[in-house]
Amino acid sequence: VSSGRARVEMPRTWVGRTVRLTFASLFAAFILGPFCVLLLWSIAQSWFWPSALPTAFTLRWYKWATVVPDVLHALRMSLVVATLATVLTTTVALPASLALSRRVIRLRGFLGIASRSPRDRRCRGPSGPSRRFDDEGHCPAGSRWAPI
Amino acid sequence: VVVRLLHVASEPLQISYTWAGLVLACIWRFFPYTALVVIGALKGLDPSIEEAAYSTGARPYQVLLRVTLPLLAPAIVTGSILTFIGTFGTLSIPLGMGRGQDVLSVVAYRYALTFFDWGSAATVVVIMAVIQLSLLAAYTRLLRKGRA
Repeated sequence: VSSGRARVEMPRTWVGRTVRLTFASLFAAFILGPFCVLLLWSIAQSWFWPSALPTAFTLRWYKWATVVPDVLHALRMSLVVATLATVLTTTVALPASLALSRRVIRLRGFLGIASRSPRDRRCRGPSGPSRRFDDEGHCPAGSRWAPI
Repeated sequence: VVVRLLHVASEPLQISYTWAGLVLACIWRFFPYTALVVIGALKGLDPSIEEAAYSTGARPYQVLLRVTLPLLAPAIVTGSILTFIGTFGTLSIPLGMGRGQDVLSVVAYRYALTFFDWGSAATVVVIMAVIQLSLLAAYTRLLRKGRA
């Protein structure tokens, strides 16, 4: 839907490149760092204090996870709950947002969420309820102003 | 209390310790995100498209089904992905709703902070993350295909 996005251009000097690279690597470390720690924990066999990395690796936790009924039951539960909740959330949210965005501008004003601008008001005419004002703030011929 | 006042059900609804209650709580928690995304998309829609549909004599429900909803589809998918990842990863809701709600996050939490078994907890979390990340990857691929 978006057409043409603004690109932030950094100057193509070594300063620009350094800034970009620093920011990118800091950001990547921030996002991926915790996940890497978890990954290490999940394959570590022994990891004790003075060593910075695990001293021995194993896949036994993964073998464990595929046989323990606890985990398998929880996995099924997670998938079922998340799927059901997603489907139902969408069915709830869709009408709600349709209603919020076009029907209940009065309610929104009451809630103070949106200040009313004249362009938000629509004209109700033979061609349907969603005609806008023209630029002078008048409704097109054959329709009337309606605060829908 | 409302249910009892209205005499809808003779028994109090069992919400606290059931998976249906968990789904309900997740909907309550996550539908604003989907609604926000969809409202944003609705604001971005060009009203003249719907006007065109109206002016060809389409009924409101036809406009909704044939024009508005297809235009909103990307936003709906985005909201659904957000909701799925959120509900799949949520810990506070199943933990707070009490026993018997063993989703993956609760299992990981229990192994980590009750048994201090970091290996198995980390493994469960990595499994969760892999599921969520693969969903995200499928989503980005879909986006790229939609743009091409």
